[in-house]
Amino acid sequence: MRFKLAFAGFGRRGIEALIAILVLAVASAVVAFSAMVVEGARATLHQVEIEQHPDVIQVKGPFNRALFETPRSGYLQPLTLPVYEPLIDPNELTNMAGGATVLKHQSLLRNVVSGDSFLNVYIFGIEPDKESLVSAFALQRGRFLQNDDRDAAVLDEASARALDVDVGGSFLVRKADGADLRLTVVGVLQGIELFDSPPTTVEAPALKSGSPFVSSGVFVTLRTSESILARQTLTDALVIADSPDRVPDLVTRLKEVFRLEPAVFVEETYTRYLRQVSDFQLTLVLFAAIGSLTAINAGAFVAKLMHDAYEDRRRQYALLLSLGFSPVGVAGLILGFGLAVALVGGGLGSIVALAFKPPHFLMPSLMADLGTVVPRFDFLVAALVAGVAIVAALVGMARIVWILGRGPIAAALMEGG
Amino acid sequence: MRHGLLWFVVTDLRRARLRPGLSVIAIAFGIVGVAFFAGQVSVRQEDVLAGYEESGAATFVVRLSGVPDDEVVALTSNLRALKGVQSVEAPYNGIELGLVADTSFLVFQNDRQKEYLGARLNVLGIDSGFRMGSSYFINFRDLNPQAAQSVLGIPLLPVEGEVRPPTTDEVLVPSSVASYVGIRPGAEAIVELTYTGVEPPIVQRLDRLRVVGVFDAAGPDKGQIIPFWRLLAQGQEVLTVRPPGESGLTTIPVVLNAEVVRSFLSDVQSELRARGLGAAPNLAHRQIVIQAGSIAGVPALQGEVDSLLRARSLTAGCDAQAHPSFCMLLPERNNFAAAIREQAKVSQGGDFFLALLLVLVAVGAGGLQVQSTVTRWRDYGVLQAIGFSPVQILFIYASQLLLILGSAVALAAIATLVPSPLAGSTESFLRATGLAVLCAMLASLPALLWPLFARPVVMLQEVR
Repeated sequence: MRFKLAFAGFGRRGIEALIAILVLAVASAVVAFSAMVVEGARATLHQVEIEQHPDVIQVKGPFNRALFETPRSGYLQPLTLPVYEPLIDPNELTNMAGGATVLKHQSLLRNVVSGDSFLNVYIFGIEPDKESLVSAFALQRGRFLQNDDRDAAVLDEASARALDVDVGGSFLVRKADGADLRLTVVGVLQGIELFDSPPTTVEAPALKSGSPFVSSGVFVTLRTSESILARQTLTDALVIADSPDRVPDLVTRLKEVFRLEPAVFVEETYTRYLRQVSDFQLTLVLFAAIGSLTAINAGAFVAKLMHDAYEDRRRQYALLLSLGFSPVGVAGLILGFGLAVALVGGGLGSIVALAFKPPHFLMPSLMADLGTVVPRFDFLVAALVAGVAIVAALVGMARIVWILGRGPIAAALMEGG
Repeated sequence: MRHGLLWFVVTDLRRARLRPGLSVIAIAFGIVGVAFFAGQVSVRQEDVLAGYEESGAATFVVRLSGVPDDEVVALTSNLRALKGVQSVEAPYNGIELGLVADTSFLVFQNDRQKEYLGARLNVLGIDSGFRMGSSYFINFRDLNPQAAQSVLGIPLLPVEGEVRPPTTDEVLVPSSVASYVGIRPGAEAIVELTYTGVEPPIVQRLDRLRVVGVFDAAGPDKGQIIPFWRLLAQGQEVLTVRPPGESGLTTIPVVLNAEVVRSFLSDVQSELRARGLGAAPNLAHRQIVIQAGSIAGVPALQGEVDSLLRARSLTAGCDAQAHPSFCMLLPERNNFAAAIREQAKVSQGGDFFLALLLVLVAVGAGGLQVQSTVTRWRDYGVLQAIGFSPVQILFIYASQLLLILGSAVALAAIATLVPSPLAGSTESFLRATGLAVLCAMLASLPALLWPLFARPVVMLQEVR
């Protein structure tokens, strides 16, 4: 009975409800189509951001020319050298960075000569919990470093073979004070994708032969590398901005901080990234604006339709109140009708959008192939569709609720009133 | 009778002023949206094309073979005289000529030794008209003889200092070298130009070249350089250490004045003759970079350039064995065809979104008309019962629809044509209005005709 009253009502009110649902379904499908394309484009842009890291700023000292002078033969003491001149004060860098994430590095090279053979191994002092934000480590056996590890090391297969160590084994590293530090291997890596690794300048084990950049090494905690280098100053660092558009401001501040240390170089890839994606971004903004207008217009049409449907039911609701139906019960009928139309219409529209979504969508990107955009239906799209439908229903019922709640029932019962 | 019908139309609309008023606003909103965004899509298309033009999409490359340097100079003058030409440049590109440049900087010295850090780079010799952002091209065939003839533009983007064509005592260096060595504009560079086409290579050292600018080469090498360290003791080179396993070929250039490279090439020719090897015919400009006045003008200009080169007895063909010959190449990725393709993407995307908006206007207007018909179902019956003909009833409600649409158009015109942030061209407004009104009318038509097919008695039975 209540169901019939809520949805069919008297006479042709059932047809009105059906029309409202159908119009809302089409409007929801239109909103979903545009939102899916915008979401797909945003995902493509996000993927490019992940790949190119425009939010990362590189800070490093000049390359240490002493690396070229590493001994290659003879009976000499082992030595460990910084790859870049250690000129970066970590506290100064952290204070300047504000809310940005700072990845501190001490990049070192261990050189051991024995007769006619020599062995160079790169050692990277890192903060294990932060480094995976930009670099990738594929563990083969053992475990990765933890922040509180001391004198522990994780190294790649090539370096492990060269040093003839495995998980549980150990090897010596010559410290700056001339003493040796024994590092215990806790894990072996099968792959490393280091962000901004140093250029290959000396022979060392390599996971990627012929790579112009260092592709292997021993990883220790920053605390361990500080004890090897006997200082806290960094050789290089990465600053990750909260968002890419904050990079220019951060770069300016970093250059200001290191203005008295002209050998410290601050580099960013944001400018190049922006050049590649600016067309894409601007077009996305335009399409998102059209999508927003579409959503607003869809909401307006549906709200108008719901308003008319409720207007036609005004006498019916007033009649029910005068027959003794409780105000809460009638309010429930009003709300139930609106929400049911919104949810059924929105749901149908979403199904239509999913069934007929374009397989791909093309967006312009100057000088860069960002790939095709694949429209996607995610939580945001679903929320937008549901939001438009529910808001439209609530706006549509606002007047009838106001009239029935505030005015005399006799006025609501009057024809055309 | 007609006046009476019109009075009925207006009175009926006035009686229910809120309902048609809201419909007018919703439809006007749709028309404004279609007009405004259609205009914005056109603006975006023009922006895309302008961006491509700025980055060299109106450019193409003519690769020359067996053409002496002095003839190339005369040829560039003739090409500049062609209609539709924006610029003609003939840079010296080390990869084509077999030249490399060991660019180094003094990083340590005492009374006994000097140490240098540097990198082996490609050589780019340019004249004053060279456009840094769009005129440096490399040919994949030069990097890999098995590859097809295909050129890729590498923009040289400013990072620090003055990134402009250098004078004979100036040099521009890539940012990867500047940060690796630790130098900034103002530093003094040593450039060793090396012709690698013979053994032993022919080398010329250029000292005290002032770095005036640092650039970022946005190319396939992604900042990859081939670094080295050099040690001089008592003024004599003792050692140059380079990384193991490097091929010695990079597309990242050091930028010199063209005169410096021209002079070196002349010395190389002399040295080759002195060694009894004869002159090398290809030690001359191998590349002419031509920029058309507009992207649309590229195909026509290509035809004219082709005719001019043939008229000067050059054989056309990228794999031509005969000399002298020429090969006309469109840059990979950034060329006029790509520019037009990318522009079309904006148009296609815009059409998709505007079509959605029009569908919405149609469905919205159609839905409102159905709603209106259902609401007035009994009224139709009453009108027919008191003697109104179906045509007169259709006239009444179609007139009401036209009044609503007319009001929506008027409202949209005020929003679109009066100076405001939404203001657009009259043309886009008229197109948007035409499309929106057509969609709305077509969608409303079935609902207008529907009551004419029902019997009056059935309509009058309807309970309100």
